Amino acid sequence: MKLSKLSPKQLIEIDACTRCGECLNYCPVYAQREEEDIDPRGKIQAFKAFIRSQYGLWARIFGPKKLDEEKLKKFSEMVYRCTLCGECSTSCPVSIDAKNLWLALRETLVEMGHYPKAAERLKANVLEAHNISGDEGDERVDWLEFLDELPDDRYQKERAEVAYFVGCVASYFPLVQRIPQAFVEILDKAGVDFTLLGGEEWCCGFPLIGAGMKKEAKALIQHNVEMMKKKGVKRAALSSSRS
Amino acid sequence: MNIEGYEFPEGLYYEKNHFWARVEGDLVVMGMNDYAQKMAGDIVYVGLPPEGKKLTQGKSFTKLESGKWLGKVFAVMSGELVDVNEELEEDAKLINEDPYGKGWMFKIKPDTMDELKNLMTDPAELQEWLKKEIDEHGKA
Repeated sequence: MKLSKLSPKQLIEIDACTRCGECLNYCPVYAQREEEDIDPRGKIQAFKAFIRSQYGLWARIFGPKKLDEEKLKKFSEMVYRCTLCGECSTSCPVSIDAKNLWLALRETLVEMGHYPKAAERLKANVLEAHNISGDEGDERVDWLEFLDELPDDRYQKERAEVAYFVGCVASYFPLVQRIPQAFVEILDKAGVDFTLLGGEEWCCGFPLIGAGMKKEAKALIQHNVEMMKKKGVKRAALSSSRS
Repeated sequence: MNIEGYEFPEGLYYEKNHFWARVEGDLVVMGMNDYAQKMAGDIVYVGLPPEGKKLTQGKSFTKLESGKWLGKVFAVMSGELVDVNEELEEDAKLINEDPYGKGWMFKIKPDTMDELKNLMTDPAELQEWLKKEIDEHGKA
């Protein structure tokens, strides 16, 4: 088990957990399952035990123990069940930034090959179609068709000061499409010089980051930044909740 | 008629993306079939495009969402969208509760009724097609 995905601060945070259990009052997953293994305190203790078995005093003297595959499988399941809501971070009395810790743990688990198969499907979808639903890129702005009035440029200019980055959910899911529909009208009425990226907008990358695949997300992020630069964009407005 | 446990009323036309069509005068009413609504689960939202939109048979023109599924709605006929079921705006679950009645979705003024021949009406053909769909997608 390598610890390269965790920063020195995160390693200190793991050690700093006092097991007070305050996070249990806020964790929505724990509220459903009430299993110690699933709450932030339980996950930190489990990971601490893995570290100890690999890097503790006995491990240094007698060598690291072989990791228990069953325990690792259970631990991975618990880490991936977290919704990444971040309530544990805001409620922690010693300010452990748990949300980013879970992301680093997921990266570690991906490196070890212990992650849900569904994450592979997600990766394939996002990297091939550049959105989370596997839809066509040129359907990303289909929500414009629902507007009463639409300018000739369909809010997609060659150059603009502001880019409105809509995000996959607001682009493709009809229940949420009212957000971009309302927002472009607000920007228009306010006289803001803005543009959409249209079919050139790609997934922001968060689904991959959330799955522990930060490395793969970089290409998506770079593409979006490049598209904005190409249009001379100075500022971006986002309705992609994780952007 | 009941096919594999799903209702497919006679007298309607069915297309392979799981939507049905019913001729009403010079208009065609469309909605989602019983198998698809059961597979989708509780439908929470249907995008209702503005009336007047031009549709092409077999092409998607809006989307619908259930709790865990995002689907496309395909036009059963080419023509002009002339009416949408406004009640779905407030209660999309009508599609689950009454897919062939109160859960109707759109009314189309077709360019030509000739396109009806591209849709399925024959019970044997419907049964064969649905069996294949069940083999591929499972049963709800």
